[in-house]
Amino acid sequence: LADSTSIRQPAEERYALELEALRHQDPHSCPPGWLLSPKRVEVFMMGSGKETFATPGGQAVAIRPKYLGDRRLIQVAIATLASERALLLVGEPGTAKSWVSEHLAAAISGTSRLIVQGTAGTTEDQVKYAWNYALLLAEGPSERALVPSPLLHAMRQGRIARFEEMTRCASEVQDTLLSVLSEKEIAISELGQVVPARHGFNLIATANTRDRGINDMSSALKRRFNFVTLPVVSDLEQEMTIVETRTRELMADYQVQAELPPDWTRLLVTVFREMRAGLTLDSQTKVKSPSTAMSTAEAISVLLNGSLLAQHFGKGQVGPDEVARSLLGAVAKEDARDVTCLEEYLENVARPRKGGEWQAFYRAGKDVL
Amino acid sequence: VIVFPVRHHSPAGARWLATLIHELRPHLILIEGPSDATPLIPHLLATDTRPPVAILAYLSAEALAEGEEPRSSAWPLCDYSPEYVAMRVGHQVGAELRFFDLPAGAFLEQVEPSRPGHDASPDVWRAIAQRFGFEDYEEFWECRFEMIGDGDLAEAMLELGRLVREFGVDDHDLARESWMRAELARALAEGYDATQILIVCGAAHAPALEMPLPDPPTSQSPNLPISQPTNLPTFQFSNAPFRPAHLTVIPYSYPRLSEQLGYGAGNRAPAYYQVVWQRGGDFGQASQQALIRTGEVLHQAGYAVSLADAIEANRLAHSLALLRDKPAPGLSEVREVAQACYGRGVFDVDRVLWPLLIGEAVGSVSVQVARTALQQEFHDTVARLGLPFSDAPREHRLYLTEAAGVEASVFLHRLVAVEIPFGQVQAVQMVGPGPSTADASDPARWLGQLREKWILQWTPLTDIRLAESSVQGDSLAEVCARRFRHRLSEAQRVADAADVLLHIVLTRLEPLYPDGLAACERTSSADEDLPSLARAAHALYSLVKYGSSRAAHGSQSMALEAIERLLSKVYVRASMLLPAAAAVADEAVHPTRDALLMLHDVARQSSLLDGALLAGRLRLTAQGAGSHPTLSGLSGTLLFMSGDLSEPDLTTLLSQWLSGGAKPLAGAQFLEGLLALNRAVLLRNQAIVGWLDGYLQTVPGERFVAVLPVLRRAFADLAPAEMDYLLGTLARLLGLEPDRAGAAVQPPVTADELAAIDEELDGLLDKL
Repeated sequence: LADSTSIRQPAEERYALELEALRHQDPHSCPPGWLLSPKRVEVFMMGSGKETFATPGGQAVAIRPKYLGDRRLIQVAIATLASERALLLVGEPGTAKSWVSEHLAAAISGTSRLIVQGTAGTTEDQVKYAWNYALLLAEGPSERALVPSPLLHAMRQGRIARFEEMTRCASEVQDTLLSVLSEKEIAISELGQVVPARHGFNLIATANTRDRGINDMSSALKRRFNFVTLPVVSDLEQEMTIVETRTRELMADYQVQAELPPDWTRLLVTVFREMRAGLTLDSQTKVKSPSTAMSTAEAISVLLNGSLLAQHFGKGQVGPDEVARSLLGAVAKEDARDVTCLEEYLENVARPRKGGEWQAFYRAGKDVL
Repeated sequence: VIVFPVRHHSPAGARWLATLIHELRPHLILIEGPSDATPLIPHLLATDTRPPVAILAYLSAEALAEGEEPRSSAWPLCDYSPEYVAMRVGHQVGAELRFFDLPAGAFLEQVEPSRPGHDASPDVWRAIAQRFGFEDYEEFWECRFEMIGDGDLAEAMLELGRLVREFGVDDHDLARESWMRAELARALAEGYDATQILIVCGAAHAPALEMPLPDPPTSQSPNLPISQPTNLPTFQFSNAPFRPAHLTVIPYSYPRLSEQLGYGAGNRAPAYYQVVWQRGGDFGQASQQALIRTGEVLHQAGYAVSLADAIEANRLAHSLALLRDKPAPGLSEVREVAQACYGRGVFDVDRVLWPLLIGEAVGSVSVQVARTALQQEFHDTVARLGLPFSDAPREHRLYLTEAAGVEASVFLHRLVAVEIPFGQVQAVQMVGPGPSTADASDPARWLGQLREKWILQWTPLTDIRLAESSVQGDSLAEVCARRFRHRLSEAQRVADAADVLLHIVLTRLEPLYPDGLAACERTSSADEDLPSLARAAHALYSLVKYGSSRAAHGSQSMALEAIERLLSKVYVRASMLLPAAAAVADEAVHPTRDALLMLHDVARQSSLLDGALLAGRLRLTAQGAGSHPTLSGLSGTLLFMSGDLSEPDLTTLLSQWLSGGAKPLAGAQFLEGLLALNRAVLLRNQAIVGWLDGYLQTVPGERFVAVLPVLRRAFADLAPAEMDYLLGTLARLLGLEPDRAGAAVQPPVTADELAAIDEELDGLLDKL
């Protein structure tokens, strides 16, 4: 269990109180195996505004929004999880796919930790089950020697399993899911057993459109998923809110105490949006886009990094130097040529802009480069 | 009096209304619609009228002021418009049917005359939707009204009407309501029993009709039934003057109906709601059908979508509706679910789905309906020639070797000339040699063609414009001729007059030839603009060359001589403008360049014209110190190509522009003009390439950046073969092995290298 010394608490622990309040006196019916009704899951994801919910202890809890975006997409995602099909969240890097997956799993099954992480090296064992070889040699195949995968756990317990970056795995490994998703069972032939999935089991997979992508998925597997595409945040103010909220949460996690002036958040988000779109917000100037995905998540990490710099090496307040330094690290990740993108951005976009922050940002940027 | 508030094109409203009329069996039904359209009701109900149709009102020729644009307004009706159902069912139960809104003419005086229906702005509708927790008014409407089931629709509608009125009612609406109330009062005065009168009107007007009525015109009527006395202000009937309108019924279409969104009377998905209507308001069934149909279409298009997907999609739609507190899945659920279940995260299902939900249905109108002469001519001709008639773009080819093809071409060109939207001519591969600068929109090009490709699409707008245009004449030829005469009298430039003349030939309006020629004659004498004269020469030459293929027999010979005379006059005048007309600023180079090319083409091809005249003038242009360098280069290459300039002469010209004494930028511009044509020959010429090489070496380093963009333009579109010639010549010049030279200058082969170079150049250009 995570406690206060863990760096990061999973969603179900961080929002334990909210979940408790939502579960208490849920007036709507729950699909079998779910801890919350679909409507309450939606409230957990989208927030309750001014409305509060009472815990069994009588405490009134307001639900904070977890996803700041299109409610309709979340509704489709929730409805999918209550259906026969599994859910595949698709999107550019940093569009909150894992974030949504984690919080949905936490709300529906009370755990977000039944995760298979997809990589090029993921094997079938990691998806289904493996063996403790010492025991296997000593006792032969037995329940004791079996090492179940998170997926198998989820099936036995009737919970939501998560498969992160599923499309990074080899297609054959991905196709292991076929029988799991259509028959809702895993055969452990060594034990002569078939493990059926209990009610409440389903799968949330995520896929990155910048990776090998969903084109490489077999069509048989595609048919077992409903696809929900999470969009890049379309609105500056909304993206600012997301970046600011998430950064503050992370700062609390990492126990960083630094000031985060809104002007700098705005400047950073503007830079990200302009470099992502290849065009300034007023559509006047073309901007070169770096090969790095200039995602919202990346902006959050730059800001967090900036606040760390501010606390430990600066004046305790995020300013031009922190932003410029963290930004360089973020942009010039994959290709040295990306540095030129930033350089040109400084010269062509930042320099001509009026306003103290832009000028300060320009000078700081030139220093860093 | 029973007021039944409706929304136009609402299946739920139509269903409720039908039941109500059957129960109530009213003696009189007053329906929202222009009161002078009441005589059209029998036509709307005729067995050979099939919705969607629209009542169309337009102003007659006499009513229009001098120079005023024709105007019209349409009231569309579909199968499930409550107004239409009121007429149909009302007719069955033997009720008297009347429209009772302001006469149509009053709507034509509005700033946006084509906007009937209640007139709240889109902002109001959005504000109302938001008040009930919906983002979108259409979704709010669908969920709360169309899916109302056993709820009291009339009560809900009345509530909505009151809400709309809270946002304000404008003078036009007040005037309409006054008129409606007066009509109601008149009916009562005629002796209709108040309980036997049913009113069908937009929800926003309903509250106004429940208020006390004014005294009827014949003030002897007995006690007026007053439904709900309120202390709202009584309305004044505004006497804003309006002109009487002509009224007719035209076919309408689902695609157009779906465009009418935004003021609360539209319908996003006419075909989808048609199914809802046919299934008695069962949205579950309609949504299922839409999802299955979309799956089929995707499957046929080669996507792996199966029936299992459709079943899953349908299930998901229902759970989504449940999550959203809707009685059944509606349009939004269908769209979102189709994307999630069929889209596979890759393709955009909406592209397939929307057209299905909108539909392509086109209505038809009873033969009894009096059409304007133009409409009649249009529909007869379309039917006789077998032209495609649907509200979706259809390709149609015409072969001008056949009489029917020629007739269709003339018909379609006439429609284009009078701006009646129906056909668009497409570019076709040219038959035979043609002017090199002509593009698809150049009418001179069509003259030489033996076939034409058109994209044809009928829309209600076609009929609307036909009706409107009937004020300008009784036949297409007459309207067309009137337009052309007007354009001829307005023409200032000879190019414009010649363009009209071309169109006169394309549309076969022979009686207009004298007017066209006279206008060309008049304008040509005063025109001092080289591009205009050159375009006119090009047009006139096309007429001389191809004109006879388009003209009817016998009428041509006289005109041909006159056109030849005109051509030679225009050509001489244009030539004489050189070289002075070549002394232009950078911005004007492009049109002048096209003019030179056109003139040169005409001179080369026509035996009538004195080629030596132009050659002499081009020579002056090439050498003239005042000429723009690009035009000078172009003149040089034109002369060299036609053999009017010898190689030594050309080399001399090169030395003038490219030697160290000349300005580098001018040199680059000269090269751009020189290499615009005939590059294969020029680049194989050792002397010319030698000059080029010498020039490049003399440009000082700091000036090179300035001339680079121009040079890049000049060399950018060299074909690989031309590049080869250049390299070969250069190798010989420098005494290299041709192969090694190639290897030394060959463009880099890997994509990375190319990208790097490209980027570098981009950077360089950005700095300029």
